[in-house]
Amino acid sequence: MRRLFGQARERERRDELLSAYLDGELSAGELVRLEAQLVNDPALQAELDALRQTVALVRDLPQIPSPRNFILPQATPSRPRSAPLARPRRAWAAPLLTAATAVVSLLFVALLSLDLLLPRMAGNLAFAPEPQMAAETPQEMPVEQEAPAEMPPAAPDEAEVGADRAPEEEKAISPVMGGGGLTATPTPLATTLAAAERSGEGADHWDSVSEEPAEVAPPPVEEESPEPPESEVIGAAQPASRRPLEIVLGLIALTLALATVWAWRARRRC
Amino acid sequence: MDEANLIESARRGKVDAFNELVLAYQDRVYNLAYRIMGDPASASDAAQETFIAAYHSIDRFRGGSFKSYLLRIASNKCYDELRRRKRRPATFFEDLSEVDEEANPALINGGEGPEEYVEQREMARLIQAGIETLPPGQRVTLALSDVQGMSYQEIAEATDISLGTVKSRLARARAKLRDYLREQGELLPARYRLG
Repeated sequence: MRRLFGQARERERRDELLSAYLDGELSAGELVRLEAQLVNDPALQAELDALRQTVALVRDLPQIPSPRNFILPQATPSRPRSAPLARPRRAWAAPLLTAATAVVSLLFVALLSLDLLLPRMAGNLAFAPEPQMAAETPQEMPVEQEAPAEMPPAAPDEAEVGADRAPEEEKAISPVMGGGGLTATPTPLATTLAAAERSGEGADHWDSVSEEPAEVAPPPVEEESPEPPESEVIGAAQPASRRPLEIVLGLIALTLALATVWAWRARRRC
Repeated sequence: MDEANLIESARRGKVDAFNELVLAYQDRVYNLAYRIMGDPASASDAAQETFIAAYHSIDRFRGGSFKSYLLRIASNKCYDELRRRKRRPATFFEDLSEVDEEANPALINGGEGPEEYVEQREMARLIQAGIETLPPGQRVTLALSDVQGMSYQEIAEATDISLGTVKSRLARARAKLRDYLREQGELLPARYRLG
């Protein structure tokens, strides 16, 4: 099948060269190569002769005279009454609209993908060995991990308090983790957070997230808290905030697509 | 009055001036439409629409070849009609007509004998039938190139396609027509048969 397709493609290429040769439209290099081939290949020469004869037959077709006159009546308006003066055709409009549609569509798809992937990524940060504990503990761990992050942006003494608190909270965490049958290894995130607090270097780093923990800080660090996990809260908040943008992008993409179709059709007309 | 003045007068709304241009180019436009559409009625319609559209958009003509301007409109009209027919095929009564444009007495040049005249008519009919087997884009390109003698560049501008596409369409059209005429081998007059 592939061989047949390859042969067909080769035949098309050969016919293109022969056709361009008849019209003097070959480059210097192509001309030299083809003429060398024609000398050595009688079959190719026969194809060229047949093509030449075909073109000559078409060119020799008699010109059919018009069966009547196509003159316009005197009352013909200079432009259609219903149509205003047509604007000059803008050949660049269709390709430009096509490009715009592609860009907006890509943005829309990217945003949508982000929405789908982000909650999953947030969920993957927590442990989930047993369903019950996974329902509670991983949800709470980010709260406990984030809570100390409130401290760094504050005054240094508070940071020390926070640093002092961190080990206690780690102790609070570990029983939960141990009791739940989880491995006692803290997550890399928790380790990083604790280390950053102690060194005081994490203050700036956590400035950007300090506001988010503030939103979920009020619930106390209780193991049985029914509060929704922070990651899910964050995950839920972000898609909601991006939803209007997705809708707008989707509508723009649809409008641009319709405009693109119209522009390509209009381009075909005079 | 020369062509430029006629065009200028037509721009100012002088239908008489435009009709002079119509008389000068109508054979060429009709011939192109006939070779593309394949029947006299459709060719007449296309030619009439071409001149109407050309008159209405004369303000957009920015100089250059008025012939190319008209042939561009004509080829687009024919192309649009062929595409429309492809989407909504219907039996056209023109297809059933017995009008044979190739037998037009106006084509007799007086120099050939009756046998030669018949041979030429048969050949023209076969070639026309072969052209009508081509898809619209190839048909239009072949007609503009080999029937009207336009260059690749002129065809590219008239049909709003790239030079590469012109070359490719023309090559395919010619190759298909060659293969078609080969298949008809025995039907062709002896001296016209392809190798």
